[in-house]
Amino acid sequence: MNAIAEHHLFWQGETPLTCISRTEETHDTATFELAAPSAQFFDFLPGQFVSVGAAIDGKTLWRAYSISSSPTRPETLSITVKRVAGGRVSNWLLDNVQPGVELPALAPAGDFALRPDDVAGSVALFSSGCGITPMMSMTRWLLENRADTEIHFFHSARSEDDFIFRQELRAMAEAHANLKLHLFLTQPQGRMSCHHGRLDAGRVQSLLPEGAGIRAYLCGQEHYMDSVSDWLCAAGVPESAIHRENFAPVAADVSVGVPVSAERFSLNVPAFGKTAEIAEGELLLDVLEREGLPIIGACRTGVCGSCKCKVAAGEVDSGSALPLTPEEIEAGYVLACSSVAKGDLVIEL
Amino acid sequence: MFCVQCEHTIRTPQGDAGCSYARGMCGKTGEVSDLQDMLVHLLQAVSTYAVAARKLGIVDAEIDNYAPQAFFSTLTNVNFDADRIIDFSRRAEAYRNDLRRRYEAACAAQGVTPEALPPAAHYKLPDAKTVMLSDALQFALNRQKKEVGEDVIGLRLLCLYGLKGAAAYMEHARVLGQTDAEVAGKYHEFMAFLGTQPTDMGALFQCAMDIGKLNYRIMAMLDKGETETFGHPEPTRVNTVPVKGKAILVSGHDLHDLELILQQSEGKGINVFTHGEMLPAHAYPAFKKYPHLVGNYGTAWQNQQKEFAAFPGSIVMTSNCIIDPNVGQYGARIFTRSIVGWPGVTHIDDNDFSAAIDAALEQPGFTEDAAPVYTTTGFARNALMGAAPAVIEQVKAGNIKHFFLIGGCDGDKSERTYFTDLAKAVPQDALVLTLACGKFRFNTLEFGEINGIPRFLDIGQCNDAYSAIQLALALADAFECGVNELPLSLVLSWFEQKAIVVLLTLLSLGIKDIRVGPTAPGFLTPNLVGVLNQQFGLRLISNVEDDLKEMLAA
Repeated sequence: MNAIAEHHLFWQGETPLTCISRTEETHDTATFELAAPSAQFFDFLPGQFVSVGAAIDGKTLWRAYSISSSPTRPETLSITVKRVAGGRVSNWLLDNVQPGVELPALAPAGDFALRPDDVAGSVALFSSGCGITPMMSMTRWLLENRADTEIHFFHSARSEDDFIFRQELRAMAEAHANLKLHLFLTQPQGRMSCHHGRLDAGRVQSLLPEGAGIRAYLCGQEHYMDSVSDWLCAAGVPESAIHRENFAPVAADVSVGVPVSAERFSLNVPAFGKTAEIAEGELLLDVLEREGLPIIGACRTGVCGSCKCKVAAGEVDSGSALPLTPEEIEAGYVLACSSVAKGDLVIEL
Repeated sequence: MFCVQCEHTIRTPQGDAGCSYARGMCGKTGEVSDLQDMLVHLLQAVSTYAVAARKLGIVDAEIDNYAPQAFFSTLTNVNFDADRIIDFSRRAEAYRNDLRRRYEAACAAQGVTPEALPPAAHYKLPDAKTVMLSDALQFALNRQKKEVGEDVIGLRLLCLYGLKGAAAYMEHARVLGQTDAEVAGKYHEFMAFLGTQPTDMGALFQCAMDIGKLNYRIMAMLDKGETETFGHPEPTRVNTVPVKGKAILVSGHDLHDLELILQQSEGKGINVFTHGEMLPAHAYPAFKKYPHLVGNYGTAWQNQQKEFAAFPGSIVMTSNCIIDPNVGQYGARIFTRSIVGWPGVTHIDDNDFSAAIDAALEQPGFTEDAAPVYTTTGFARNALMGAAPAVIEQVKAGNIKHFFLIGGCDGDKSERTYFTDLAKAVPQDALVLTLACGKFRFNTLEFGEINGIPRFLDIGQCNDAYSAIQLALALADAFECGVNELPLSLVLSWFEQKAIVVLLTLLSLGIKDIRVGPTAPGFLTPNLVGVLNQQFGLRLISNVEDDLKEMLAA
């Protein structure tokens, strides 16, 4: 029945991918190279992410990870995963996945990506920590396909030991004159040349080339992206040329584990006459489902928007708002699969 | 999974539509969705052989009845049970094999060379579900999008979903003894054609119109089945609030099941309530003899998780729409019938409803009578025709200046308040006709009368669009003009595939300037919407004020 099989993988819901290699990038980070069934090719944009499932305690937990490989090597797809305190899926992947292990995955998605038909002549990449993963995919792709594009790669990490892709990235910068690497380490160990301390407005101003047409891509913690965004605007980069990865898979992953000591808030859904308890760090979707309320979690990774609900009162921390329109966000809509409570909540379904 | 058949489908801000994750917006799992794609593929194989066999005089009524029935199980909010979808598939495969054997035997007997049928017609259903799911990748409806383009895929889906709606009506008609070998033959032709993965846009467009025309015949069959079995609906006032006592709620479209439940619950101290599309049943003379049919409970399907949870009795789903009964924890007191299914929910396979009756007796029932709130239904074909002379007289006298048909399926999008606002805003010298569950947005409002003629006329279920068409034709005849020249505006709300085929029927009859909402079907590309607009004046709703101004000026 493979008469109409195509060379490229046709994603249809969950697709089993097989880990074919594992590379330890740092003391707490590894890259998993995944292959599709029947050696089919992957089709994605540099910068996009893929949702991966992990069977933990009889339940499949889904998390999204930026793809770190380039679509120019479509035989495999790589994700790079960092160990985080309380991160159930990330830590499970690091503890359990070796070559030969199969993982269910959903189709690559996300708007934080380079469009091959619309690449700027000058690109600035800003990342911190494991926010480097989509930048790596973009850089690999740009170097192979856009030799005339200037890449200004600003990366912030704590130390050399925490610098993911340090060897490959430095080798690429040496080999390609159009790649300018600006590394910022807060605790440098003296083994490689870098800027000491944090990135700041002045450094952005001085290191960023002058002239119109630069396009910036930001991935990291929210406050990091807020600051970089402000500095870029101050440096004359128009807001429309600044693209942020609004997805924070690590935050969502951490939220799964709820310590016994976690603070408890009340969750009220007046339309259904339901009041429940939600723990600090507990996913809103998990609680709504547990209480038998009508909500659909289709992708469970902040991509599809099926679990959209309105926060009528209270505050949440959201790891993703990808499918929501600015009007919906303004009106208080959040994604239950990517949100945790910061206090008592009133939710409208 | 990939499913884009209902209005609720996932849409990204970038405009991509379709549920393609682990679960659809209806709650259907990826597994069930994939198995349904496989079932559709097998049913196309059945139809391919049915078409070939018919040329040699082989017509099998059992298979003709089964094919649309099984197809109906893939309609939105009908069957979520993977095991039953596999059972439907196995039976479809058996029928396909039987037809193939008889066809090849007939070829040999008549000295005819068997036609070279497409490889898809020979698909062998694997034993293991895991292999079925792996095979299902080949049957995804958007599989060839890159090769053939999104317009072709959109037209294929318009035809497939339209035909699915028509198949559902065929099954409703069959239950009432109405079948037609010629109609079944046309169904098989369309299904077989779609199984060839056609790419000719002209042929696909023509197919969509032909499906619409076929559905007109099917709606006529269904109308005949309902009126011959239960009598012609008469305008009837229906209580819409709780009545004290034990209770059974009957939802869906199947009047035959309602009759069985009324018969079997008679004298047991149980009140029977209709729900959703079953509301018009109150208007049929055959049901008026049951004093324990006491009213209608609840509103449209999308509110059932709240309303069923609060219903103190048992619930029977005779057809669509069912949604997750575990939300609201009433899974143990809801029962499915016919092609409806939900994993873990008791399915009533024969005509014995004692399980639902016993469940109702175990529940507390309503403890008090609520102050009655009424709606009136039953303005179906005969009632409308009977009123036509008076209506025509009032039009000629200038007292009735416009007709609005505001109806279709309901859903839970907030934009659907448009339909309530429109019903409220129509001028006092206009009549509001309605049908299907979209009516629950305004059917308890007070509309008043125009010289004895009620301003609000509930025609019935979605398939009673047939009655609305008859009224339009009668008015056009009386005023010696075409339907499009009448002061008649059609504003349809859509959710699932029955609404799609009713729309195709209206378009195939040449009815123009229909407004639909709240959004365009996700499978229709902007190009296709443009073509429908150009050819039929079909347009999306905008806002009540502008739309009303435009409709009244037309």
